[in-house]
Amino acid sequence: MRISVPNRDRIKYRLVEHHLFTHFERHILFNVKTMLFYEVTPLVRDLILRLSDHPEDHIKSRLAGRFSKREIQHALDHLEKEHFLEDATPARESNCLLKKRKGLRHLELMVTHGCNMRCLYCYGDRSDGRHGEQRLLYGSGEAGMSLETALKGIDFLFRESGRRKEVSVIFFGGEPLLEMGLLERIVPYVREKEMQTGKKADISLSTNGLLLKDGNLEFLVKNRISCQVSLDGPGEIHDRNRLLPDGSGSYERVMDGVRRLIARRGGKVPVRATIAHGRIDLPAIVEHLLSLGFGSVHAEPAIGGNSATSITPGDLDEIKKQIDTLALFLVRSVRENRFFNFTNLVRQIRQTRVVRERLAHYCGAGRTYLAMARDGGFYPCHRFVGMEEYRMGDIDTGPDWTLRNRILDLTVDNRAVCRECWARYLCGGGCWKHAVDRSGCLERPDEELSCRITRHYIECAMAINSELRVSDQDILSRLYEESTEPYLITGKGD
Amino acid sequence: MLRRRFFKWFLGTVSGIFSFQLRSQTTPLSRINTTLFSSAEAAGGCNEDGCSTSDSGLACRQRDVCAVDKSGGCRDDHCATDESGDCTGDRCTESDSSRECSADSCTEDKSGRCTDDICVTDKSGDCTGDRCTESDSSGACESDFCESDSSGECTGDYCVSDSSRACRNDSCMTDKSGECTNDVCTEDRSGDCISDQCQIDASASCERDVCASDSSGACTDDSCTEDATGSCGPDACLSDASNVCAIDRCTVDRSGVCAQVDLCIVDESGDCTVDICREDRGIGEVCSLDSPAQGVDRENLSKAIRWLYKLGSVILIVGLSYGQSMAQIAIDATDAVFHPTPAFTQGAAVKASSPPGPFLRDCDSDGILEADVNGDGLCDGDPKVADHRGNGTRELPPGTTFQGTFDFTCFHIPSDVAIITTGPLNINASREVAVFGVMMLGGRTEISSPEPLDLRSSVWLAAGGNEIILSTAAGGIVSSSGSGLGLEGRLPAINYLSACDNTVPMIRMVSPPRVTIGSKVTLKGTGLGKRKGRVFLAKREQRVLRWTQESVPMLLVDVPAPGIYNVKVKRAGRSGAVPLVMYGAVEVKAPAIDAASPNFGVPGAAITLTGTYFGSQFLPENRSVRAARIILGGKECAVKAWSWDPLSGKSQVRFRVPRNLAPGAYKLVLKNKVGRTTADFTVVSKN
Repeated sequence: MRISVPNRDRIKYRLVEHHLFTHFERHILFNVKTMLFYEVTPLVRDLILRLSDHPEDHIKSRLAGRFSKREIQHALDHLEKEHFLEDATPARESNCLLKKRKGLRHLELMVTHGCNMRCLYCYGDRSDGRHGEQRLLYGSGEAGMSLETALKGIDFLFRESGRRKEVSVIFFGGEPLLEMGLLERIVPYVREKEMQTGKKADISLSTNGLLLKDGNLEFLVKNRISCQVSLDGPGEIHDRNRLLPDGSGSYERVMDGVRRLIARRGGKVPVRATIAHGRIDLPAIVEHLLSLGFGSVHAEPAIGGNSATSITPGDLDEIKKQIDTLALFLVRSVRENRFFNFTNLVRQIRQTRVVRERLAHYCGAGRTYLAMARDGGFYPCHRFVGMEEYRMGDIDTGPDWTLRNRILDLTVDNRAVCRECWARYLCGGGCWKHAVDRSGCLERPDEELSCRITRHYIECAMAINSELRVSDQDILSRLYEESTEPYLITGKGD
Repeated sequence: MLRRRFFKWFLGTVSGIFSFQLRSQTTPLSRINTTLFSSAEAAGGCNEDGCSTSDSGLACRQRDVCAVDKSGGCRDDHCATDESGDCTGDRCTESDSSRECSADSCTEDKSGRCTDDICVTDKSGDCTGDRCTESDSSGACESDFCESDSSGECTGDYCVSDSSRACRNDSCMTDKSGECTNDVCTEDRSGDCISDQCQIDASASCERDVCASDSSGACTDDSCTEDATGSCGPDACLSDASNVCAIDRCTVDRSGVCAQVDLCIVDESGDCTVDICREDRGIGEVCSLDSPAQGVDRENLSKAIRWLYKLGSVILIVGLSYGQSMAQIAIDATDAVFHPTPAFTQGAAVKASSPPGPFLRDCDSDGILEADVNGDGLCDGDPKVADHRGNGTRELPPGTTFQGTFDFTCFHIPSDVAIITTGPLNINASREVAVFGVMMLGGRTEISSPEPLDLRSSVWLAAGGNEIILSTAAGGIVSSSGSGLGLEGRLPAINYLSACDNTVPMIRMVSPPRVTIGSKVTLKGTGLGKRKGRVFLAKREQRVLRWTQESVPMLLVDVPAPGIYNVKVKRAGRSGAVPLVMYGAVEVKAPAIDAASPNFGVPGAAITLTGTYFGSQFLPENRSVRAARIILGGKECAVKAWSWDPLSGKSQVRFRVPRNLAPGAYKLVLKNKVGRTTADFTVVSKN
């Protein structure tokens, strides 16, 4: 795109890749290349819009009615200074070197595929589809992982982690606490490996909370095992989808253990809520969960799995509106020196405030993160378990890195849809499983739902950063540092 | 002619220079964020960046977040490591090898000179006066904030863990000695946690303690922060899930029935009405400083003021700025007395499970409050609250003088409490200050807090000329709405001091928070500009009544549909290019009918309609045009009287049933520019 800039009629400029939007009545301009964003005046907004739409027009005369020539020139000077205007010599290829990390850091052990709940939106509802007497089968097979397979997995993690000083073991299921006996034998082995290798291992698990009994809790606390609870909000919301085998709601049954866990952990417990189709009330969910004493709340929409519970494009407007409500509430909370640890927003606020790197991938799945199924099979993450086309070898025959190499190449710059998106380096391309569920392949992200929600979170975060002044930001930084991060979300791009 | 030309040229030149200067001060792009790679990629060096690895550009200044600063110029930064040898006043978190780590926030100090720092680890063996949190193996950990003290001498420290078996009078978090007595243990497994401040007491006999959690089911007279018994009686619970949080001092009430006699700090019910809530966190609610709670406060204030009236010997006129009229109040300015709860003290002795105010405390556990009149934190020899006057009320002995400097964590005067002093009073609160009641001050008074001062509904009575200094370091917010001030017909000198930069253009408060057409709303802020600007509610311009740098009263003449809206201020001149916005500042309320009384009537009968947010009857912009109408059976009713309180929204209308309406059941409709509301009404025959 080429334009003529007043006073510089002989110089041709092009507008660099950018994103201009208005959120919370603030005009924000994001430079995709430098990753810096600015709050801009109405003049700059109009200027950018015209530079985009009318490249060859004489801008000064078009805007002359409302702004003086000097003001326009002044704004153009600033746009140039901030690298929004480039000399229109042939565009250089992006020199952004995206880091493609590999080397195993996280291993998810699917210690059981059995579960004592029958959540309606469970993506594990694959092999038998029944909600009857039997435990719901997740992926393939029902029995728990053998100790031998588990210990081989631990050896594999420490071996493949290379020079990394820190690794993490995540117990997943099904409901991992159904296999307490197995956990009690794996954990000492992990600690022993720590001693042998000098590496530090974080151990964590994700539970539905039904089995947080005193004995289990004692084990978790004693062995420093982080614990994320899946809870969908107030009873009436939670019980819509998170059901017991008899079809009744599980909220009351879960709360005893949850309270005990929070009390033992001094509130440093993250919770994850799944937002399902229907009456969506994100503020009520977040407020309720924080009021229970959880250290942080992460909410993810149900995408894939049961189509009746998956959110639909029709839900998006409401979800966005509710995210805005939470954003305003967060701003108010920060100003009152309180923290509102809704991590979906907080992470984006932190990430956009100080951009550490341009993300090549959304998460470490398949690269630094692997899930090992009960039979020893490797998958990019727990969500792929049981999908043969995404199997990455197994613990006995060794890993098959074909899929990893494919994922490594699928950076945001190499995926057609992502390449055109202004948010690509902040997003990393979205969840692989969402891409597969919604578009059938890894290459094409879930544009209709995930991408739109992610972009909205990012816009919200930028607007919040713009709203929060330096003193507020200090408060936010302090509060964030004192807060609890959801453990399961690996560092973006990690 | 020549002179005129010169003058024209001169004006043109001066205005050109002036406009150039103005323009050069306006930044059309305000950068918000930083990147950790901009220094490598963008020209201009690492300035106000967030360098993660290193800054060797010698330009890493003030607002940088360098992880490593090798520049030798790392000052006032957030460096994790400073190798410059000059890490002073920074927030170094990893290590400081400079040997000059003083007054920093180093987490590790290898210099051997970690003094007055906030080191996490101090290996120097000289960790004294520091805030070492990990370990101090020096054997000399005294007056420190050690987390672990293996010296066996952890006395008078703030050890988190003390295995010395000599943890006494400390602030141990864990005491395994079984001897945790009179300490501030957060965990006591001894089963003998009595008179301590345990956070967890597993003994099931947590009585008169300050337990954080008591699962014994017998939490009585304690200061539990959580009581799972469902019968949190006269405690000072922080959280009460019992739904019967009454007569408590809950700081959080999630029950939605936080009623009148409670003193909630936070009400999450979204229905902060008739309580003395400090805050209402219902998402989307905007329970601001002028919340409906003020109405109740007024009621309690009236009680307090009536009580003051009884003391009378000197009659003084006090103008209450928020009141409906001038009030004659008799005040004995020579008596320094304290009355905790004038409305509830008939007969019984005054008891309080926790101090209701800063001066009172039941030191000797006899159930009667004593007053710390000199601020020494002790109550030996301090006067008792009793019925000294023999008139059924409880007070301190007449003539009791509060004089001195008081240091409190929180300074909180409930709305039904009156305090009278005869001498100077200095209060330095380390946390919040909330004065809802009556302060009658006989001398110079200074109240300071690092947090905003909440003076909602307070009444300040100071002898003429006495200075009142209210200072805050945070936010600069001093809420003084509804304060009545003055004695002897003279206003005292009141100074609001704030460490914050009050020149920063910002909207700080909009009240009342719930509005409708015709509401008079006051916007308070800083740096709003000297000249009159424009105010918008949801992009609709409102009529500004007056304009100062700090306050803009306005009339809502055009309001959108019910909902929560932002308020935007466009300042006059070029600074207006960047508007000031307060998000979710007000909620536009639709009218709602509570009742028609009677709900039947013959044609021509006078009916009274009560409800909320009926708004103005006429358009604020044009008093000849109706903004609201009452319609019955399709016919407009003649309105006899129309009133509404913009603060509470309470509305009352008196109208006549249209004369030519046939008997039968109708929908009575009240509609205004915001919305409509209906009620059932029956027209009956005259016969």
